[in-house]
Amino acid sequence: MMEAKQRIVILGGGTAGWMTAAALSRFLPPHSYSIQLLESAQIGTVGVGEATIPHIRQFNQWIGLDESEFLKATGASYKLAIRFRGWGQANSDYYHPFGLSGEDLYGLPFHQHWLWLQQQKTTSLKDYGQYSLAVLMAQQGKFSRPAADLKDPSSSFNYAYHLDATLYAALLRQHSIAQGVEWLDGKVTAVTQHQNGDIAQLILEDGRQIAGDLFIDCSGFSALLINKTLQTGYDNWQHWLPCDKALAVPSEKAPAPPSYTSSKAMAAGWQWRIPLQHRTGNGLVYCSSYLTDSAAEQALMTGLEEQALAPARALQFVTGRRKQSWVNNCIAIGLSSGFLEPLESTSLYLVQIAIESLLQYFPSHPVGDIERELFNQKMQLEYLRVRDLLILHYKLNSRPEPFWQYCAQMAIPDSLAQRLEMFKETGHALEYRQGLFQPASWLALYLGQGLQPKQLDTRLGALDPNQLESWFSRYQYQLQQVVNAMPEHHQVLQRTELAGAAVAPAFSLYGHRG
Amino acid sequence: MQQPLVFIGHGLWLQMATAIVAKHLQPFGYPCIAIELPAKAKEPAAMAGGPELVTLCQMLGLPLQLVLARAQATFSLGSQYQSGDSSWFVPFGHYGLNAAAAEFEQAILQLLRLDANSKAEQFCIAALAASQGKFALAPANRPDLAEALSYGLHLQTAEFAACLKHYNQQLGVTFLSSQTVEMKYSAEGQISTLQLDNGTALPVGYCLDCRTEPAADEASHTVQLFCAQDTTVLLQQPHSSVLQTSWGWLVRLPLQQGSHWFSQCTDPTLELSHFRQELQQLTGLSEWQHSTRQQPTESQPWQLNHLRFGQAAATLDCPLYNGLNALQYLLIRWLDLLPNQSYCPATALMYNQHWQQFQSEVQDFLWLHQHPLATKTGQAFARLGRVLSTETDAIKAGQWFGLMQGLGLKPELRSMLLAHRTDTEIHQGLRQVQQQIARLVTAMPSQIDTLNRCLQQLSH
Repeated sequence: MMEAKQRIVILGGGTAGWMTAAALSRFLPPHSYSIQLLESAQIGTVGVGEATIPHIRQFNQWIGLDESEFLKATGASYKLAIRFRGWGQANSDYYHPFGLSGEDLYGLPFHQHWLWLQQQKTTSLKDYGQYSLAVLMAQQGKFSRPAADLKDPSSSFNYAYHLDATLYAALLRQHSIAQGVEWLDGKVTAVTQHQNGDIAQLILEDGRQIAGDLFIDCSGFSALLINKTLQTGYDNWQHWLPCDKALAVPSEKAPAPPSYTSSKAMAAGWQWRIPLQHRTGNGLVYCSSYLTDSAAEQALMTGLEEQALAPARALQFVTGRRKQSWVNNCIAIGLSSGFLEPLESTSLYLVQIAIESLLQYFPSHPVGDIERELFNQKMQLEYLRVRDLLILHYKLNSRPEPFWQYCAQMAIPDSLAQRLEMFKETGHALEYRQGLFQPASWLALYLGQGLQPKQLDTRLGALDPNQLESWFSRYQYQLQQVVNAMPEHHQVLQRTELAGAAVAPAFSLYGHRG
Repeated sequence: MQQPLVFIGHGLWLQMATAIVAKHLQPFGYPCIAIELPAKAKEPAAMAGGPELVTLCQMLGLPLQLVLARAQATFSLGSQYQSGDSSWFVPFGHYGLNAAAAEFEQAILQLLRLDANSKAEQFCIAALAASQGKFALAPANRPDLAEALSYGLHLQTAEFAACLKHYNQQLGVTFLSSQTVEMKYSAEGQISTLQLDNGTALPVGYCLDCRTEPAADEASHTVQLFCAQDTTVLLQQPHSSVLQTSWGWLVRLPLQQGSHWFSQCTDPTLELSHFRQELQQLTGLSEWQHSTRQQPTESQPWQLNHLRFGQAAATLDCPLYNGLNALQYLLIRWLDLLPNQSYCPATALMYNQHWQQFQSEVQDFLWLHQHPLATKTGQAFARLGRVLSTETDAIKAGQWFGLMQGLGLKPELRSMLLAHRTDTEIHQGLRQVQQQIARLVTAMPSQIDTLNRCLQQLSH
């Protein structure tokens, strides 16, 4: 007798839903699994994740999406860094690059030497970012693909994209349907459960009943299955990340779109700018206790660099995460499993990690506790580690506005407090194996937002500052020469047909050397 | 002038700690003083170190040939396990041709599910080479092979310690001997001086304490047994051998001129005579030495300026895992974070937390040997065939996989990341890899040839 197919139902057709559908349909054999994606034309999508991090390239490759096709279909531009202005101090301006800064020297990390030369008041010393290829490229509007050969300086960076999330979802939908995903339009009005709590069926407004064995909740903030049905609690992190509203508005395209996302700190939040090929995405994330909605809209609209193309759209959110992302036979992916503001462009990364983990720990029917537990542990770790870096942006500041004063004074999680204190004590940043952000990212923030350690590595005292200064000058000159030889970012964007020839993406945020 | 670094302890652990730290810090003006104390318990005459030991020799600039010659060392590609009728290999290197090959181990598990005659070792260069007595140092232009053939060493403990002591003396380390050492503390609780039995009081910047717990009441502690009497030369075995016994595991380390055996029992009800008798039956050897020690505990090795590294490393030291690897980890990690003040509580806290992670991963690996399904790691493997992500390199990915599949854990679920491939496609892909591995191993020299070539290079 033929074994019945396992029925997978994905609820929600935003980016998270279609990414999930594309990945599952790529790997699960159609003779054993049926995949249905249910979305409602009556319910809009949030369209998060216009700015991404380099892992998206791996995802696209994983599901068999060609880079040229992707760039054309989503109006994407390349992204090398995030530029932070006004963070820490009102006049600060630094980059968090997808790349490393400098190289280890005499067995010590580069930043220790840089800090030491700064202490020595070395006149030729440049900003920390000037020793990063990705920063120089971003600042000078240059772009070239990274190299895999570790001897090549271009192996020290990676790249991601700015993309139109709606167009990306549409591309993935096309891709998924071609791979056998059944696309359903309908609005859920009720959910039935088995006695053990597992979800049995979704009842739609028109009376249809969608039965399934495994349900993926990509219903966004409404969290229809994971929360409204299964009553999974939520860890609220607003006391650490107090912004609770956002406005988003598209504007005309920039004549030469920069290869970085802009994040500008404002009086009670921050403003983003994401340049695409066909338009620019803009938005303001703010804390409603310190800024009214009308003042926020005014601040956003007056801060636009191009003509707005539509009225601003408002969003409200509670920063935090679902206590468990996988409960019974329901897995929450995307906004239904948690929300972290897009300050470090991690939304699609967290979706991607959830999908990869689901496939790694894919259950049989019925679902076992082990796969559920492993998935939940993995997602918790990823969320917590991203969360800590986001909090750091707010915590490290000496801005005068009441909102920023609150952030500077607020208590922070122990996991972050220990890291921060350790950097203050020794100038060292401890890496971890799992989780996204490694010392290169922490250092970009610490130094970019003006944090100085009390002490440095004691070995530095034995070095000759003049010799070190010469090395720094030579190194920076060589990086600049590499950048000079690169084409302009906007020129590369016009030749997207060449994109498919790119070298295999590195898994690290910082390129093959990372 | 930097504050002096004072090392206390004895034997190989003291010499190793001194060498690592002195090599890194002497050039930066740190005075290094090593205080040699008497050993309180018998130590095994031989040890097995993993790839970390080879990396250490490279870092110190100690020629491999010299270590091979002085310490009667042989190469180790991993461990050959024997339990009843089943046997398996746990390699230091990875399975397949490429460490990053997605789902390769899952493909092996899929094959094992379908074909009871297949063995995971067929897809591992190190395992196949070890079974044929082959060993080669990967050429510099083949980093892929270097990873697959990742190796450690078996060596004589005292001779390697002597080699390191000579090295330390050449670095300018000051050696002192004392029967006892007494710590004097400042008002803040830091060690201010170390008082030796001749009255000398040494000022201390950091005290790197390589001592382990002294032997105590025999009835309630771990008993370790060693035998160095075996003159069988096993140069055709570039690996350790691990044999399951009624109380645990018995390890055999082949050296150039004989083999050393090492076992441990933590069962307080077991009579030593019974233990010896069974060992004699298993090995045919009668000259078993034993030592008894308290099982140490140390989860906070960094306390102000007192670095209790010996005690911490000893918590993991046993026949299946050499505490020297842990000691090396503790030292390198500390050097990574080297502060210029002794009081840095947040740094010490994070360091200690990281050590606890390392310790827990090794303990998990050891516990798997006894009760595979009592660990989360074993349960995850038995359900999904996955090796859990780790935060440290304490145990290599190939070791986890090799051990768990060797112990007979058979995953209930197959990988969905391979579900779009047919069994035939998976089988064909694996067979291609297997053929390439077989060709590579056929072209490799024997361990005897590699060893001879290395020793000849030294004599020239």
